[in-house]
Amino acid sequence: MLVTKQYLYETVASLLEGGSPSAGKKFEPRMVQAHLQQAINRKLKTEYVSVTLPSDETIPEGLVLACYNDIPVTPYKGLSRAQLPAMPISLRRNMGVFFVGPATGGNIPVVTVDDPIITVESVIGISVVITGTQQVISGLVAGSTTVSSDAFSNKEVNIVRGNFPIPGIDPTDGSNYFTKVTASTLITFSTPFVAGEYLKIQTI
Amino acid sequence: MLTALDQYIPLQNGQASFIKEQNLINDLLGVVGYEVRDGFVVFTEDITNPDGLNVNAVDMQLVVMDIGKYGDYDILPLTADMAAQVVAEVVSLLMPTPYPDKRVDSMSEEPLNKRG
Repeated sequence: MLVTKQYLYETVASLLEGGSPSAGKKFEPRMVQAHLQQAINRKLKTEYVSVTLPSDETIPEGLVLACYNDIPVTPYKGLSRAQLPAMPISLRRNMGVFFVGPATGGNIPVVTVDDPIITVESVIGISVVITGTQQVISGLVAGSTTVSSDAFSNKEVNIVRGNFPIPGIDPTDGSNYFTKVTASTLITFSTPFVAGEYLKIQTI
Repeated sequence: MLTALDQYIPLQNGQASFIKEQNLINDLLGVVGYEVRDGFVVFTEDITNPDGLNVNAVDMQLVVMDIGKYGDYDILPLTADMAAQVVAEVVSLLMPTPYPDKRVDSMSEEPLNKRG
């Protein structure tokens, strides 16, 4: 849809005049146009461009930087692309497209896919098995009281800890510690690990 | 909102395919580049890949004309949803408050000037 000032003005005018034919015009066209211009500037968060850049290149006067948020990106021939929301002024070195960066607004509904469950199974000091997406896990040593990994970032985790010298035994007899915590990247235990102790951490 | 350290790197048209052939720099030192082509910003990799950057939307800053310099019939640099928001904003600002209807709101003061 092509948007012009006249189109915006007529849309606003028809909405203001609508509903009550005898109401008559209660607004001045010039006032509506001024409000429209202000609203557009607010929407685009416009700011004037410096006329002379540090590189001594000159940008014509009367140009502004306009912000556009949450422009969808789509896959394209093995790469990805985003459609320009408006045609920028043509400047040298494609400077009309002044900035492109990851969206920060978060207004686009994003379909999220659950992260794979990551399971860390360790016999402290002897073996470590990680299943799911490979992540760096640190702290799985005797004497440590913390286990940290980006895998635990804002995740809930199940923890099983017990004195099981043989890897592979499922410690579900209730004598072990089984809990659910929300980890940041760090899980802190009340007592230090000892060599040979079994530890299983699983993200939920 | 827009930070200098979190942005993609502009390339001149054709540079991406040129860089692609240079083994030492073809990953752009880990950053993502883009070219502007036919009304699209085309990135040097698939940033939507869920196993990669997983970026589904971007922010942009474009250089456009001062809004005051657009004529009545020039195409404004607005998307359709932005235009709808601008209209809604101005209408809500200028729309007169309707008279209270005494038939449904008996507590309201009777209007001095009834509608014709």
